[in-house]
Amino acid sequence: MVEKSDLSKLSEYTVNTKWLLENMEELRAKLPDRYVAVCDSGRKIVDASTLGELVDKLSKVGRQPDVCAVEFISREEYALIV
Amino acid sequence: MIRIFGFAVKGQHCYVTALFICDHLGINAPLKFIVDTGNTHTTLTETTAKKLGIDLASLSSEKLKMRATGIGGSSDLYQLAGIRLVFMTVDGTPVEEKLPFVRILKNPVPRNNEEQKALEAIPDLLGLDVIRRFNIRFDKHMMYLERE
Repeated sequence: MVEKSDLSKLSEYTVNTKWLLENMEELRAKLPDRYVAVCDSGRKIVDASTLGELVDKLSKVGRQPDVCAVEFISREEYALIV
Repeated sequence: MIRIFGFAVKGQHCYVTALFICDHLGINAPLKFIVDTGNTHTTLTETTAKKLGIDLASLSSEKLKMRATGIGGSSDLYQLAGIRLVFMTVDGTPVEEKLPFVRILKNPVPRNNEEQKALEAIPDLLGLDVIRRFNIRFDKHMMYLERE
């Protein structure tokens, strides 16, 4: 059984993730080698040098880390061969 | 028809999101996965496991007697039992897929800062254990997992 709030969480996370992937190059140019959290459908971006620092910053701005799309944005683009 | 929405950003891989639920560890968190038909089992990275609070040391008894190998090298594998993945269909209906286990890929010890950054870029993988339950359909920059 899945709660309605869980589905809402998944929906919000999906929108943030899609925004992050679609705007990866812009983020890479502006925030290289930083941990980035995309919140509120891309309207709020939080960055930090470590994951722990990022989680603290999200807490301070009242955002739940698990609905934000969190990613380390490497300076270089890696080709993923899977 | 069950139709789960994924997305295929231009020039990138195909992704799908799901709630990752492990009841016995109290984990219920959304994750994004690359759809990877080259991988037999759904696999999390150690980076994601740490974010979810999974202690690999506590899984030591479940450590597989096999290693993961790929173009980048090889690494130890762990497995975490009793997983549910909940996807959302295009009309907002939840679809639950039970998995007897997922694999967790232990990060190799990075030799330098550049390797550390590359390890951070390794994604979580949705494997054939889930993909085979669906048909995959591509439509421009969208991807769907479908079944009747």
